[in-house]
Amino acid sequence: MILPAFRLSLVVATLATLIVAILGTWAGWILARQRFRGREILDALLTLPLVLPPTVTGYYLIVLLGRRGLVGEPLFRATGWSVPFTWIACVIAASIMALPMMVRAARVAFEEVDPRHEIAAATLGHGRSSTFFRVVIPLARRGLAAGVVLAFSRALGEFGATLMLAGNIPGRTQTLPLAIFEAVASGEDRTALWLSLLLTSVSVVVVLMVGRLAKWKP
Amino acid sequence: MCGTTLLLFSSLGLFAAEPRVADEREVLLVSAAASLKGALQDLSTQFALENPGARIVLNCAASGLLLRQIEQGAPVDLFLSASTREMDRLQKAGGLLGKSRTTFASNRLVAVYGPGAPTPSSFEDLRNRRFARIAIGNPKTVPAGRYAAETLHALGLWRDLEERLVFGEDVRQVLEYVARGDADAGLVYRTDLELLGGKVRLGPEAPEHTHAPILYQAAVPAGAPHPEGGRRLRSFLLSEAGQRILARHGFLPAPDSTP
Repeated sequence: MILPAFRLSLVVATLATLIVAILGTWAGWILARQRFRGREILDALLTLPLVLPPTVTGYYLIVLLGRRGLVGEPLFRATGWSVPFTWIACVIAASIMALPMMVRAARVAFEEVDPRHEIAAATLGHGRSSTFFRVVIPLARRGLAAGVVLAFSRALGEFGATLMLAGNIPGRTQTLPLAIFEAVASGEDRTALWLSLLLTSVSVVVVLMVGRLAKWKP
Repeated sequence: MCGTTLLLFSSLGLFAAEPRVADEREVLLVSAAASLKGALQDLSTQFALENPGARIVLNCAASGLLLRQIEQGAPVDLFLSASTREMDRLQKAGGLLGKSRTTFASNRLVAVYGPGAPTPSSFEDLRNRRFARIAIGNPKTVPAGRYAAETLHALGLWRDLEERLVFGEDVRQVLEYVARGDADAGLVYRTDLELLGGKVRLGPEAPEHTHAPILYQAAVPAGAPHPEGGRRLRSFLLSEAGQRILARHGFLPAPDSTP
């Protein structure tokens, strides 16, 4: 029970963090730099998984991705496959829950980058994407790194939405938090203790990393 | 003189108007297996009618979880579990009050399927790959899941079906999976069908002797704040009125030979 859950959790959290790092950075950039109507509404929508109870988010995910869901039904009809009860559901749930952390961190990080650097880069011949990757990102790396680390820890600890969308299937969708829940509910105290210590250690490492990043001189 | 008489009569009126309740409003906390929820609601109403001043608060969840809560000191007045295993544990730990443990009902395992799903005509049918996902309760924490696992093992189906199984954390969740269409079939108690109305359809019953008899037991935990109330409710469950309500919800009476 312990090893499969640990392995699954690491894989899910890593994948979710990769997805969220890309999407979150992109969204943070748009929110920081573009001015458009409904910008704050977009920000609010992207922040929603952070403030909604995870079970509500889980419910929406089921409505969307279940076999009879808005997206799930055509998918099932076309491929005979559906999201619930698969490890992919774990990744989706973790990503959705971790996304707001990355978006907020990225937005703040980009807002603190002086736009004049971008103008200067343009006058030196950089194109848009070159400016972004070689000038802006390095300048924003402290905030972005903090966002990534926070997103990872959020993805690792995800429980409610995962339980609803992916179910609790040992070896397949049972992540560390779900394994702890089951160990407690079935009276396996020793297992629950080990699992909790494992998750705590990883979280402590993550918190320490965030602390180190805060002191990092860009 | 007139004034005093008036005062006297009006105070008598006050006494007459006062509802007859017990000195303390007795609130009984009942932790019960999820499969009992429907029946318990009717039982509580009837019990409250016969015992004015008593109010029942229901805490329904998987028996395994309820057991853990009680072990950790939850102030439960009556524990109703869907199997003997939880009761055995509690009894061994000295967590039950005296001789309060009794069997008050029994149940049967059945297969259910949702609208639009293939129809199983027997448990053997589940081998068919058309049943891509079969939902059962988590065998570690849900008695219904344990009975389901027992039946599948007894029928030699476990090895074939294991990779297609999805676990629900309680019976309601198993039914939800089937009703939602995310599972093609589920194994639940016969009495659970009423939980989701017409959304889930009744399939075959588990063949005899493929699982241990499903016994519902009641006991008053040692730490109950209102042990007397718990005992009274337990007696009510065993009474004719209580048994009639249980039968109405699809439960079967306790077999005679059980403790």
